[in-house]
Amino acid sequence: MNPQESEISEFDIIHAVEKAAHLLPAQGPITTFVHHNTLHAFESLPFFEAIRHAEILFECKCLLPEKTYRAAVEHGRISNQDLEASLIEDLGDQADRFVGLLGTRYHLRLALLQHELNTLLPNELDWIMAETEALDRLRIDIDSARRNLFIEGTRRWMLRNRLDVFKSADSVVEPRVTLTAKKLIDRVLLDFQGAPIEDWNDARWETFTLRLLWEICSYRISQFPDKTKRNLFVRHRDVLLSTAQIDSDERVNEVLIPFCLAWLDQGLAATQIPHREQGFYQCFLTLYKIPSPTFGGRSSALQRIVQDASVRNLSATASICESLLDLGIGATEVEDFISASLLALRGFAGMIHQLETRGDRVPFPAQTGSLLEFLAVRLMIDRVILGEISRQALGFSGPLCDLRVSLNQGREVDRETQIRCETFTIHQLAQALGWTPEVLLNLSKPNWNRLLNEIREFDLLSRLRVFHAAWERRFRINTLDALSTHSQRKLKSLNVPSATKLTAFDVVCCIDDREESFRRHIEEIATDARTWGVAGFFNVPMYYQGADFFHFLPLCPIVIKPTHYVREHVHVDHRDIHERNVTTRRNLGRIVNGLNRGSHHLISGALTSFLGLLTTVPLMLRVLFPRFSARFRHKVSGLFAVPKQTYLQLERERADPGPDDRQVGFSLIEMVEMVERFLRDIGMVSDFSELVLIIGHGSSSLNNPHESAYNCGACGGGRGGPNARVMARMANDVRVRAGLRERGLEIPQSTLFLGLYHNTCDDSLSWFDGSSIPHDHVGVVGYAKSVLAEARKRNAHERCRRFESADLSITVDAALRHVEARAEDLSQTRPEYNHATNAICIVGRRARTRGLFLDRRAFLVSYDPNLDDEESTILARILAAVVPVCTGINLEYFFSAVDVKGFGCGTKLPHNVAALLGVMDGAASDLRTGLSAQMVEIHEPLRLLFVIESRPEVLQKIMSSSQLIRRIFCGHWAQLAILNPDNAGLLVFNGTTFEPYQPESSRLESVASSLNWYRGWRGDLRFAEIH
Amino acid sequence: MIDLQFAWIETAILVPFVAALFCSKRFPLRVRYWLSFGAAGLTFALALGAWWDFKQLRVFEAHDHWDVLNFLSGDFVFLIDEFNAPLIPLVCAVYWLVILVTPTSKRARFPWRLTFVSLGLTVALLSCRSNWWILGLLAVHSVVPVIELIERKQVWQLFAAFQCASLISMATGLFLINGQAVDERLNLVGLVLLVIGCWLRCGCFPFHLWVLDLTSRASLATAILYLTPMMGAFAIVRLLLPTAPDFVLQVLGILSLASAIYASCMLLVQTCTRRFFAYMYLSNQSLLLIGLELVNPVGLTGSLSLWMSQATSLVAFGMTIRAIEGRVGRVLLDRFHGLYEQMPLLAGFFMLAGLASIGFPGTSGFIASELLIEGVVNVYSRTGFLVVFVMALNGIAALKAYCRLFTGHEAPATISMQPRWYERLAIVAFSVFILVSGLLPGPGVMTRYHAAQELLNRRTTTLTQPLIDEENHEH
Amino acid sequence: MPYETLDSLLVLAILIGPIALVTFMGITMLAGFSVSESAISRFTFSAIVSGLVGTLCSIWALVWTQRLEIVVELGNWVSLPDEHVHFHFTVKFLLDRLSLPFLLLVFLLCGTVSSFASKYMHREPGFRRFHLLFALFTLGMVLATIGGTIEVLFFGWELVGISSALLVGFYHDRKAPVNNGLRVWTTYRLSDAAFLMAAIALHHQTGAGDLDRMAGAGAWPYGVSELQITQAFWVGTLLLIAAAGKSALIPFSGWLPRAMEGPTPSSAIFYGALSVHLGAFLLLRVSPIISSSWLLTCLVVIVGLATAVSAAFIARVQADVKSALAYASLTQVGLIVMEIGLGLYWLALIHIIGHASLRTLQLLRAPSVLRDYFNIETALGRRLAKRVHTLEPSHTRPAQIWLYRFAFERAYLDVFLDRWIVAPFVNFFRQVQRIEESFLQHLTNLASQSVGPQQNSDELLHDESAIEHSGQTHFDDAGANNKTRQFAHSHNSTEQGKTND
Repeated sequence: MNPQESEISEFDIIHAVEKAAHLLPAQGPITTFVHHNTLHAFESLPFFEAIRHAEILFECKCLLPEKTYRAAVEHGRISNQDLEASLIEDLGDQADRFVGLLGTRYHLRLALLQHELNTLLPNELDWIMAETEALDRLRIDIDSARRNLFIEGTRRWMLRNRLDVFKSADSVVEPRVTLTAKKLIDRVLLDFQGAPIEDWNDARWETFTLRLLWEICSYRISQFPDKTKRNLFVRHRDVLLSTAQIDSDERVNEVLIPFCLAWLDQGLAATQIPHREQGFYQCFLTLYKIPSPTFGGRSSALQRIVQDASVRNLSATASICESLLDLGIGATEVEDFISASLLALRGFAGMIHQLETRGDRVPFPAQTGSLLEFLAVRLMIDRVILGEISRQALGFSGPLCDLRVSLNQGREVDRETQIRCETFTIHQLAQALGWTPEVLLNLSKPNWNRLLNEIREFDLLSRLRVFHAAWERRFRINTLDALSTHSQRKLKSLNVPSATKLTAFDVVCCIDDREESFRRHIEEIATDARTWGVAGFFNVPMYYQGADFFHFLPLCPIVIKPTHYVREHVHVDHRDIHERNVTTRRNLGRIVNGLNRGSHHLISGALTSFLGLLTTVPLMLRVLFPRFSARFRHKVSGLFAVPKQTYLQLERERADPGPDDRQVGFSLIEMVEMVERFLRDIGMVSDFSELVLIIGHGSSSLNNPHESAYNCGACGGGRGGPNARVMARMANDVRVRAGLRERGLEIPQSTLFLGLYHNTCDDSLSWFDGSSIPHDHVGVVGYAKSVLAEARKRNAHERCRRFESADLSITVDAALRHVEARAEDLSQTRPEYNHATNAICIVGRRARTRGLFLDRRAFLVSYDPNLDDEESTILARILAAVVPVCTGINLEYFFSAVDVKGFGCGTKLPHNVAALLGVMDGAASDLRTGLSAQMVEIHEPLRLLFVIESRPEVLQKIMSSSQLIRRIFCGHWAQLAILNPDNAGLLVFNGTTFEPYQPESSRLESVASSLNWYRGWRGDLRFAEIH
Repeated sequence: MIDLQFAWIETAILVPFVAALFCSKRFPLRVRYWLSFGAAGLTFALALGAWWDFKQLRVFEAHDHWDVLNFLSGDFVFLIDEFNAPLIPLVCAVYWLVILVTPTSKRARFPWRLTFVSLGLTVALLSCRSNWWILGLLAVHSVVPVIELIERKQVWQLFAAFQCASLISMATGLFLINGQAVDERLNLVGLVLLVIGCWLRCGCFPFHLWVLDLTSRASLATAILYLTPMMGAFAIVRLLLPTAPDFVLQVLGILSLASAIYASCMLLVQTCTRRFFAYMYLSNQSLLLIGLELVNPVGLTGSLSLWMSQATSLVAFGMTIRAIEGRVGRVLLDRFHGLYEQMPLLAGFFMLAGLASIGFPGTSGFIASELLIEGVVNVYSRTGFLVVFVMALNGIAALKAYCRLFTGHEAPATISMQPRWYERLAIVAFSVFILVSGLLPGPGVMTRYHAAQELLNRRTTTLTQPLIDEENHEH
Repeated sequence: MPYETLDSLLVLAILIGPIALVTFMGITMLAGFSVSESAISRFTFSAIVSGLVGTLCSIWALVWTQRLEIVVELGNWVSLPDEHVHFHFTVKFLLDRLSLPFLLLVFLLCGTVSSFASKYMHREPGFRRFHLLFALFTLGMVLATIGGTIEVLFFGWELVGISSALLVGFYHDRKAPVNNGLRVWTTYRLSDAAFLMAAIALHHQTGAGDLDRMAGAGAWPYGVSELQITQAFWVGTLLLIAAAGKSALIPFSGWLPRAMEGPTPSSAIFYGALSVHLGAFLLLRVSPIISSSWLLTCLVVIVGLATAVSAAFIARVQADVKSALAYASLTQVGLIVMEIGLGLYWLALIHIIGHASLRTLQLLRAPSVLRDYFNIETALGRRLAKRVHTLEPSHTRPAQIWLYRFAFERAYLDVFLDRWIVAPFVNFFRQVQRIEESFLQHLTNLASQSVGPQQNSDELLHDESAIEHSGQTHFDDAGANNKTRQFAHSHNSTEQGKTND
């Protein structure tokens, strides 16, 4: 070991850990699931560069398998123009580079994209070559002209050059056939003895041609071996795994996972781990330094190390230093090694980091520096296990620091395999492109080299990149065409003053893609209703405590830390009932908790077991008749529920906000500001209707640890009902309206705001503050109620088309029953599909998109460019919230869908809730982050397409002022297009500038209702116009 | 002695030899394949015919209708009796199916001619009862793999040395017993030599090295075909069982038990599929030998039934390993391969074969192993329980091998490696045999029971009479 | 026998469903027919319902005819007509006050879980495999429950074993489930060996494996064993080992939490409800043997108690739902075994039934634990998690930490088995393997040299490198990556294959 390598300072380590922490999954406790970009660590890079890095670092796939894209090409989902266009875009100015005889780089790459070249795994190659006719018959996708060229061309050429027919002494090889070629041909001919060459039939010639082709390719490829370097392994484990097939991490995890679980546990275990508050490292030392009767072996080795550390009072950082020294890690590799070591158990490491930085969400947060301590412990165990393996399995007795070096030396690249695989690819390519043996033989050596380099350079990921871009391009064109056509048809009605048509009521929903269909159905049923979209916390960031909650819950986007508190109270008249119910509920809770906890213990467990016979009844009812049993349960629990008659404590008495009784609420000024911003953001500043419904949303489902992921993203994984209610209450307040009037925003006396809560899983709607509806509004409220009741049914019906377990012929009423049963079914793993299929985000007036069937794929944000100021502050602040939230959702779905086992959490069927923080696979595994296979199975991974109704200079300005937004759009993490506020013109952003968009077609089907369009179809639908 | 209605056996022996003549390299591969397939099928049909004919006769033993060899040598060389009647068709079926499932990739190198020679010899061997004929045929039979090893430029001497030692030992033993019937001591020496010879031929511990050598050097098909008919056990039944005194057999029984334990323990630490197969063979054969040496009807019945079921399940094992090798090359058992996604049917079949070989309820081995254990416990009392232990270890090893081959890894399959039609056919045939004989064990067990009784009867008759020439005794 | 036909019909009614189901699933799987999800679910459900109806009828028949047990002998599956040693494999079923309640439980829970799984497993690629194994499991449970001879019981017992092991490894693309499945299988095999030995010993001593005869006169639980005390002790001990393996009693407890790898419904049915109680059921079934030896009784009580107490401790520290439930189950199973040892058979039976139902519900809704915590916290108006054991460092007694560590390491059982049973065994035979290899190598060298140097046979140094060599393949560098060689070899073989075509 040279001296400079041993100098690893503590500062280096701390720095490296901090750096590595960014790479860890940023998912917090599962109870507050927040969607975020899975590759957040690489957000500063452009998208395709980022995924190239991520694929290596995380060992996951970042794009779909090639097969899927090819299927899309065959299906017509990707057209040839798409491929060509995206290839040209991908190549940039390099498209015309000439590669040998075979045309330009563009042509070569296009050919590689268009023809499926089975790139096989080495072990499959033998089977294919033996069992199929790969070396006997030409590919079947070749037309007869090319077939002719191959067979007859080769035949003519062979006969032309075969001079040994005249076996005279001076017969010479024809100059055009070189010596090597002669050798190759002779080698192939060896297998074709028998009939003279002149008598061969076509089939024989075909075989001969292909064999010759193979020999030529194989010969040339072996001359130019692939020189791309394999990256050396950083961790000892990787080297061990690749050379000796022993995964040391499996054994490390046997110790580390249970300890992490116990230390992180938020109250699942009855007994907490002793000395948890002393930190991860100390706690580990305490637990493992005591002598244990584990009979020598691993435990005693671990115990020695631990005792040594605790006797010398070694700090975590010092311990890491020691471990690194012991493992032979040089100063130059420290960063890579530490990040690889942390990523090895990334779920737990990430969770520790989350609890360390955002500890406010859990009862037992982690101390600062926990991640570092985790690393210290991990490396300790690593050392013990590596020592054990190297001694036992490898018979290696030297110091650990030499292990990696000695193993790394033993690795060799198997060239033979590589050559064969590459030959197979080029063999197929040659057939597809009509490179006959003659052509290939005559190709000069430098040209071969260039050709091979080109092919190697265009590796799988590069191919997928083009495919993916083409796939997105097709979708983008479809969307923009639809928007453009629809806008043109709509423009007239937009310019006519809307006063001619009175609005009966307004509905303000969350921007959520799931509300798109709900809004569309409302508009279809009631043509005199308007709908709006705004982030679902309705501009009310708050801590909220419901009448039955015992603590405050944050209800706002995760990026905001609320300062205000709101509490719900039961009306004085119903207090006594409420008090009684609270007591009853508490007693019931005690009993249930007692039974539940007790069933785990020895004696009480026995007693509950005897009662257990009774559980067969609820068990069978709940499994066999979920909807019925749910109704029954709701009836019963309704008896002790919080009374409906509640009010919100909205107004603060003291100046400073806080959780105390007198600090709860907002000041009048704050209310006015919030309402004003809310109204101005969506552009509802005039033409108020009589009734404005503000609908927050959430989702409830059973047996679903990921339940909070289905809730409103703008409420940080909470349910947005209270926010809607708060906003409605504030907007109704006369003093607030007076304040607004001073600021130039006049809300008519007759306008009533009402808050609602929409459960997107069973499509139920709850109305708040029904008792405060004045008499003169009863009519319009009744009308709205009937519209909404019908809308939720239709919405349920539209959702049912995606569920395979619902018949396509299901009726509207049955559909509602179906979704209600789904929400209450213990065995249902897909209560709803959540944001799956999201792909578009439209920021603009609803009038521009009203009547367009967007298939629940679009986030719809209301924004009126005409009401914005010169600085376009409104758009800036809207985008500041909407862009990160929507791309977060979109990219999380994207990556979970492309690699559900790597980035997602795999199938949820064997999931096991661990430490009340996350889920594991089965008995013990890393904490699984991301979305489950059941959530993303219908998702088409597409980067979100933003269509913003604005002007290019405005967007340029916003991007130049906000780094976050600039990164997202310029780095292609999302696509951006602009819709001209005045006409149907569209501009597409290419990363630097906006280019005018030429619609490809103006075809847009027009149907009477959404139902007519989606009926009987499960897959994705094209856009259509509903008139 | 009673004649069969047709020269079934001789024709069955002749057909493979004729086929071997025609299997020349001049013919294209396809023709050779189908020719072999037909010839082996015909042999199988003839063997079945012999069995059927024999059943019709309702006698203990019978010989061919026009016995040519009898005419030449004045002796019935080929006989069919209760013991070998179902064994001959079984062995023919094994050859037939192994030929059938030879994957295209292996056909070019498949030793067609040798396989047919081997088939002919095996059938002849199985239908022989005369000691010297058996010895001679055993000798010729063991030449077949030697030729193959030489052709493959492999070390053949080790295998040959073992076989030679076995043959010499057997021959000397037989010579001493037959020639010096008066001298007790020489007789005993002869017996010991005979035992050693048989033991060597069986390849039981500690003489098992040639089995390992053969499985790793010869082609898998040859190894399967040489090993699974269990000719060593056959030699014991024919040469030792009728004459050896009880104590010799008991010692052999204990040795077999030791061999079985050794093999099943070694089975657990194997990392190579070929060796795994070799030890599976050793363990199963040793179990079967224990039963043979018990000399009580239950144990013997168990052992003979086990013979049928082990032969099928071992071949099934071997076939699956061969199919996998044909697809992905040789595989090691120290890592997970996750081939299930690519070949689920083969995985299921491997599992079934594994279960059958450990005597899982509902498969062909269940009743057989129950009978065997019952017999062993009757004779050896407590130590007999070790047989149960051996079976448990085999069970663990079988599932472990299954897991290593088919699970534990997400093998990215770009092509389907599902069985080809010919493999499917063999899989269905074997599965049906394993399951049907497992669920309806009655008839099978009864034929084995009759065979066992006959063997025991013969033993009692030979042991009570002074040791005289077997051949004379037949008349 | 006046009721003979009726009795046979009852048994038929119970068995026909599960048998038809296994046949259907097996044949369609082997033949490769495609069957829709809903058809499979419906078939499974109706097969179980038919069995349930059969069970109810049997209970009714038992009550109506006022008998204590129904014994149905369907004849011999196999029997050898020998005068000295008679072997027969009798197919016999026993419907009595032990098997009928348990059977009812089996059908109820299997039916519920199959209905649960039909939705839960929707669109899962292994849907059919799951249902095939589930069908095998159901059949195995039924046979083990109503088996009237120890052989029939064993038949069912083994079916339960293999289906459990394969369902643990259901997600077989990951290593952990497969390894844990293998562990389960290993434990099962070893304890099943004990079972088989017990069966043979019984056969040997009483001449038959009939459970009613073995238990002597009198229907369950009033039978008195005919065995002598020592015989009873040894047979009983073997059966106790068998039961310990299946019910994860000490020292086999380690596999139970590891078995929670399959989809939730299979975990529920196997390790919460039925499979884990099968050992206790066996002990109940052979209770006459247990009660006839006081030493054995003590042993059963001790094993039960030790399991219960240690599992109770371990359950307290588990920080994931399924492990916590696994150990909670084990606690009760230990208690049940203890009750059996104490002779409280009825209590044990009721305990089994109640406990199985409770755990099924708990395991099926294990993913709800987050919601449950929220609801209970809301109702109670406080956090559930309390800082109970986080005393000052100086106040935590070493004993407390030791106890925590004991529970945390799951009573050191796995470590003990791995280190003191498995490791020495494997290491010894690895060593033997090495010796054998070098010996073989030596012999090979000897053999090849004695005739003349033919080729360098380095290839046999490692067993994996013994490669089929085709005629012209030569690899001199023994150290080369063996994959290269494999590949090169097959390359040549195919090349040659093609040329000869």
